[in-house]
Amino acid sequence: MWPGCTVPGCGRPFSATAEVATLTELDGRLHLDFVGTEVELLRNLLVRVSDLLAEDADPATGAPADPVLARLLPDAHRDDPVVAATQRELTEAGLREDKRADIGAVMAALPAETGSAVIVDPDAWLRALNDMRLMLGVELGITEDTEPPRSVSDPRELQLAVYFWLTHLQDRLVEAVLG
Amino acid sequence: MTVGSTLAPEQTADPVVNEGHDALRPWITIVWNDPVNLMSYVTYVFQQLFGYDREKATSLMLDVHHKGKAVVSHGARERMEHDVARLHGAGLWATLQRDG
Repeated sequence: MWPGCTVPGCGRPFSATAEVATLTELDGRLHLDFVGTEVELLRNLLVRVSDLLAEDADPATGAPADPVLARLLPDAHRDDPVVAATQRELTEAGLREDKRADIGAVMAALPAETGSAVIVDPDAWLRALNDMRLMLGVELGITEDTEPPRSVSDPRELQLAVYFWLTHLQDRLVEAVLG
Repeated sequence: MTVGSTLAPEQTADPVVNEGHDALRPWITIVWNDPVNLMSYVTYVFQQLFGYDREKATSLMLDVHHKGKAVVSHGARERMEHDVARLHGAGLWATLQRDG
């Protein structure tokens, strides 16, 4: 597991000095105030996860062929393919639907460009942020030793920066709901 | 006492239960460590899904983090299927299996 945003650079999407969204509580509700291109970035990531969740399973195995989708919808048993297949049959369609509903809830709350999103359902935001982080985590080969990039000079460093920005947002939100 | 032992199935089953009585053995839900999920988020998920208090949820989370996995619930297979689905919904890496 990742311990949280304690390392320098965590949460800065484009440079060490870039501003990031702030989380505030107003009248008992959480608000995320986005800056720069954060909303567009978030929307693009949400669309990517949503599109993946619409992809069919591998007909040969019944399990997702895409490694990211396989992480979002993992096997429910490590060694017993029958238990894993039964679980998929029972729950996978519902899981895909629930995850896309979470994405829809976040999408609906996002402002057009910059501005504030009211977080009506923090759990939906936490799950959607987590699914985006899982997607980038697989694509980037994140390990517990992966550190935020010191500069953003190539596509991988940019994606890493985005990953740690999502980590920062989720970290702030989970701290807020844990109280 | 470790959390693992507190979560072990209670020894109320007939002691002569053996391989021929698999149906009587409870199932368990295991959460595995992964490099992405935040420690605070995993604690929160355990509290929300299982109603564990902060202390127990944190202790389970630390077991996952340090030992690589932890048993988070046990009981009938149908209940474990439900628990695994909810954990997958939250993005945790969970599996179910027969205990023992």
